[in-house]
Amino acid sequence: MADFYDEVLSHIRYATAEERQAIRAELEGHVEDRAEALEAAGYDRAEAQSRSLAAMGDPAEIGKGLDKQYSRFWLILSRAAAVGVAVLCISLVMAYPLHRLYFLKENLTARWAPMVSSFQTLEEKTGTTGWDPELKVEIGNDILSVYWVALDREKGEAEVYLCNYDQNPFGQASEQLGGYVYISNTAGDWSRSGAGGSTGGAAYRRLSEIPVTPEEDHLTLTYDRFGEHISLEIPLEQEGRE
Amino acid sequence: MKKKTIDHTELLVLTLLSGEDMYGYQIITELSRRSDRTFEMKEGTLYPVLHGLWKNGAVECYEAEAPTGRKRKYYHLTRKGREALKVEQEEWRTYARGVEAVLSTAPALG
Repeated sequence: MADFYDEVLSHIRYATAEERQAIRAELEGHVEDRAEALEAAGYDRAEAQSRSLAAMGDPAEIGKGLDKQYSRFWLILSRAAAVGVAVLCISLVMAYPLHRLYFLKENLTARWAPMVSSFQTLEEKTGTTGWDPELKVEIGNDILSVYWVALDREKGEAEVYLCNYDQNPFGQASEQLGGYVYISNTAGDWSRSGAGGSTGGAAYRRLSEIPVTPEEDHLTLTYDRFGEHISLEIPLEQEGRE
Repeated sequence: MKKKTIDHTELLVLTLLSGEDMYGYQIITELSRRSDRTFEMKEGTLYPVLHGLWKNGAVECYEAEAPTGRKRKYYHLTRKGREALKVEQEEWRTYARGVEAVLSTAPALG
């Protein structure tokens, strides 16, 4: 059986749970005070309680009166701040889903601290030291970066490290781009082997066994795809840098 | 006159709170006491009035210990409430003068 307070609250449509609890507590307190006064006046507990509840009036009238004060508009307004924050968070996540945050990490790593291969490099084989030519070129939506060159004059061989990443730090690197990059020497010989991989935010490629003649002072990087032709000169040091 | 009748409950409640902060039961007992029992309302119907005043910013509320030792929700008249009280008092006086003016034209009875 619903009690007096349940009856009152049943008419209040748009109050929050906290507000309902507060209303109940306030009304209960009032009845408690009235009942105490009646007991002090000589009524027994049960009589005092029932008279106090009766003195409150019609629970439906009280409930409807309160319902007018707790309008739907106020409920919406009071939740607007919480909703606003939630919408903001959701829109941020939707605009940049989690995998894009991973791309960001790889993208920035490629920009500022690109990897040098973990498997045996020309430098390790021949004891020479490579250098960072600091060459970057825009290709489509990506940036192609030539970030390391290793050279062995004696052997007549060079190794070039490339990576490409999206111009948008949150974007995905083109996986095909590296496959259309060729390194050649002045004689027109091309690199004979290449290896690489991509994990989304950045794609890496190492072009090896590039023949280099003793007099050669540069290599040429070529990108040729969809009618787009890009050519880049990679200067070679006379000796591998110490 | 804006209304045919004025809801005097609000006016009475605001007047009481202009003197001191009070909680619901206290307002009921004070109303009865000060009006020499002229104003004895259904006690629960005070609360829609109080909550309405609160939603409109005429009063603030806070929890405090009542003289009985129990925690009660006290109502405090805000500056906005004081201004609303002035307006309502003026409206009441205009209303009362109007009623009095009509009554005074009535022939004396018995």
